[in-house]
Amino acid sequence: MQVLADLLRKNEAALADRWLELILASYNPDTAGFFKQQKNRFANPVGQTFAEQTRVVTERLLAGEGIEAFQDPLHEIVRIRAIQEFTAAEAVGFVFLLKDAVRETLADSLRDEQAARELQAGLHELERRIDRIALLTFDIFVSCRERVYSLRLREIRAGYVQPG
Amino acid sequence: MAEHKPDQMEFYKQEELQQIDLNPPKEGWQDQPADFRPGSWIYPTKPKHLESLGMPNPREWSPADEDWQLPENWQEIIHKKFKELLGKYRSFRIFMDTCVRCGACADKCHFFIGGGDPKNMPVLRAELVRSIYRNDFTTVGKILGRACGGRKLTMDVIKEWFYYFYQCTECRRCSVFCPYGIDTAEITMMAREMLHELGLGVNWIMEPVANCHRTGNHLGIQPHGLKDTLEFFCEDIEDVTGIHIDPPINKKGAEVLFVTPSGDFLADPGTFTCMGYMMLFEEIGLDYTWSTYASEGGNFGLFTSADVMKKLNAKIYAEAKRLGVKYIIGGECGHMWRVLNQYMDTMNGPADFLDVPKSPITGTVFENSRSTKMIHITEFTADLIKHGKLKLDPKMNDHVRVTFHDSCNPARAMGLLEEPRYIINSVCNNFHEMPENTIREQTFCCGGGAGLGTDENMEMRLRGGMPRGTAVRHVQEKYDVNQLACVCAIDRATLVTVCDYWAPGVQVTGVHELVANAMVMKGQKERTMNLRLEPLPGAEEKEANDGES
Amino acid sequence: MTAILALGAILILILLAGFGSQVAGLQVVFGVAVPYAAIALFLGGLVFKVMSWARTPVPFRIPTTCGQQKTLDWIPSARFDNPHTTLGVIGRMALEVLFFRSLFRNTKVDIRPGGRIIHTPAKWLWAAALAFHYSFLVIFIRHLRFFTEPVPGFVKAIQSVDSFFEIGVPSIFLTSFLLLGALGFLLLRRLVSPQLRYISLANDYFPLFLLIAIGTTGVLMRHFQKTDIETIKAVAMGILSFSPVTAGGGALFTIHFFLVCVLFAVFPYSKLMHMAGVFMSPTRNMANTNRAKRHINPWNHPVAFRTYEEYEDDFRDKMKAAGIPVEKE
Repeated sequence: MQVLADLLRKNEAALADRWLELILASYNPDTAGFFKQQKNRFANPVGQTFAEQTRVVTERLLAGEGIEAFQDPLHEIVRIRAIQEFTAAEAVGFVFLLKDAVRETLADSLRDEQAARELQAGLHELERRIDRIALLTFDIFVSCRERVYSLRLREIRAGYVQPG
Repeated sequence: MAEHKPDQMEFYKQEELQQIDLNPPKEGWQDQPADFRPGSWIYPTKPKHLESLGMPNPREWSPADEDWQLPENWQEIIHKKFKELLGKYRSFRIFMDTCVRCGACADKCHFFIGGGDPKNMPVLRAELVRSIYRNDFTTVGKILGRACGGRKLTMDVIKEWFYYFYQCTECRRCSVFCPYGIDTAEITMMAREMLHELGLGVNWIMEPVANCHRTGNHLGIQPHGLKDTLEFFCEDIEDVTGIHIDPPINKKGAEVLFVTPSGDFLADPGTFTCMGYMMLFEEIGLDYTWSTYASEGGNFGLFTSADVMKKLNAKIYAEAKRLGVKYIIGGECGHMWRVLNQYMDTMNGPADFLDVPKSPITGTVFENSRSTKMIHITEFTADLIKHGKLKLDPKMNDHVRVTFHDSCNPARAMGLLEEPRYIINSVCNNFHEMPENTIREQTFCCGGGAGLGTDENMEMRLRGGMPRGTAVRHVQEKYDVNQLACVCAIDRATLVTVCDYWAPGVQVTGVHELVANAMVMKGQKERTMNLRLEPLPGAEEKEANDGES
Repeated sequence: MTAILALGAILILILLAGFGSQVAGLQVVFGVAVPYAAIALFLGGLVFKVMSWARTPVPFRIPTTCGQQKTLDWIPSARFDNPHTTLGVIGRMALEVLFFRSLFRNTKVDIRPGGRIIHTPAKWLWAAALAFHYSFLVIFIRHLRFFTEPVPGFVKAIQSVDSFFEIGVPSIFLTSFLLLGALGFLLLRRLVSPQLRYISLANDYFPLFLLIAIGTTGVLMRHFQKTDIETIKAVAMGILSFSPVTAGGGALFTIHFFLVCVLFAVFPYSKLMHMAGVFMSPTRNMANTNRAKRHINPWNHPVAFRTYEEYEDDFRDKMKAAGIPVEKE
């Protein structure tokens, strides 16, 4: 357990970067480039939010923090993906990419059978936690969608729009 | 294929999890048809509205249909209209010819920033039309075709136009950064005008247009309804201030005709702004009148075609003439002022039957509207405040921490930047600007302008509203800002939603709501509520204390 | 792909000229027919295009305002960014044409940890564009020495300033390398930035490759495979005096000269017309005097609208019932 945690913490920045890269790959490549390159929070709120909040999530995951600690950073990300042109699976699926990022980060260590065996238990535990985070993400996604519909409803009630 | 276990990397098929095509598009943008996903397009015009306006091809249809039921010779119709517009607008011709695709505009569009669809880069939005122009109207394009960026006019192109030109809010932000001043708003206007020839429009624009034609306002409020509404506002004003107001309606011989967007009659928080105007006019004793016939300042014709814009706008001068007023004041509205400032006089002038606006209170002559004879309410009010003609108690707004959203059209088609700021600073003690590249001429759109402010495209609007929302969130976190002031009726409707999603806790207000709340009126009772009928901080305690003593 | 298409076109042009210079019979084509055709295409196209713009009306006054309007006396207005006088417009256009004001506007704002807002300019595009255009202008003026006899003083002056550092023999012109550097940057950003690659057409790469080829052959002729200036001048003067000399100047010169002819020939039919367009863009070259002076639209045809009489006829009963004054009882 400890071995895994140390190993990952040492590579925390690389892990977060890789995860972000995998998430941005879900956008049109031209756009992904913009999201990645433009560092200005106001000119590029999407890319900057993703960059900041994936770092926070990674950090808290490796620090072993409780599930509540993930609510805010995930909300920032999901709130954006919930209104972009994604299906529910696409919008939430980015959490699972963290598993890929973890395994890619550990690729060198896992190649050694001895080390791989030692890491296995810890890895299993970590991935279970990521699954838990994914479930939370799904809750957040649904709450964001509910928000969108309640906003629609309010506008309809206010009379700004006539339904249909 | 071997079965993989969950702890093996191969188990997680990235592609399956994401279910997105990660491959870069093989072909260029020219061959990627628009993908009509719900949440990104607006319901088409109902046939009855097109019929009442005498516009082409009324029918029931949906953008999700394969067949859009266009007339057989639709290509010919578009070509003819294209040619006509090229002959009528130098802007269109030059914007078709001069773009060098330098990319300065690419990341300036709020829809691209918030959503990332590359065709929302202004340069590509324009290329959707420009590619057809090259192919059909330039010699080189006719010879070289695809090799020099030409494209055949196909049904996919028309669908793409409909999709992307109803995903442009005509906010002109890209134009600010363009070295040749290429204005996507202009191109969008042309494209929409062409689409209308085929009966391709959206209901959220055309229903208000039809309403406005018949009843005088977008909402379809009939004369008696408008009177009821205004009287209802006066009851609230009386509750708050103890002052009774009789709203003057269709009053002949008044000095001023007042015109505001009908959104101000309909829903909060626009209604509070409307009350603000009435209280201001009452306080200074302005001899003004409302009109039920010209009861709309806004003009959804701007989002339709030049002729429809002119048709709707014509009522304002006609009514000013009939009522015999001296000049016109216009309320807080964005695209309304684009029309009033840049189109009205040319289209429906000259207004030689009116006088150059002169404030009866301060004597200031508004030379800047010497010809149009219509001034913006914030110009009028800023002048009043400058001359000390209003008794203001900014402390009344101390619970408000406000920022100001420059509405696109007053900012980039007029330059109304300082007047509202001067007013806000005079009536509020806590004013904080949003970051520099999100205000003034660089202001970000609310995401609902140019007829996109409906609900079925909510996701698109929230994407487009995100850059604005991010900036609001910033001042909310940094300065504890809790109100966003603006001078636009569409903002007052759509930014409420944008803020609720991106910066919950920030309310939206009109500038004249803030004025009215801070204005000490002659003979008013002590204010314990603001115009929203919310108790003022401290007022409840005080009341309780007063009760005890 | 589009870049390769454009590059291929340039290579074919180079080969064509290289081949032409070696075949005796074709020297008439490259030395006489091509330059006159290019001049004709350039002038004809330019005049036609500008006339077609000028003939098209400007129905509405639609400046994009980028600063405070002129209203109340005590509010300072943005004289150039939101001009309300002809002088202001001239100022705005000068800033735009001479200094690329709008590209310069490309600023970025960011927040540093701790909430401090910093402004970082995003001025690479602006700098490269400016470097390219001014270098091109200087090079264009320098080349007048081939077309004038005696060479005017200002041409000599510019030439001596340009070779100020006197490096090499003949001394190098700074602008030659500035031009190639700037073009290289402009090309590279199109190829490297995914956004720009996506929006770029063959029409965008073609002028870049063409100018790079012209610049490179120019530098080669001056510093590496030296070409006899007197011969070139004879060719140039011959063209101007309508008594063309066909005595070539070597393959390199023929290629350089041919590519310049191509540049002139395609100019009016390509995006290079932005040079003229920038002066005529209605969002930039009009004063924001919208409400002070009526702008006339030449095709302002009448449009029927619903008159008050029609409106009152529709709602008279309701208006009377509500106590709203009416024209006809």
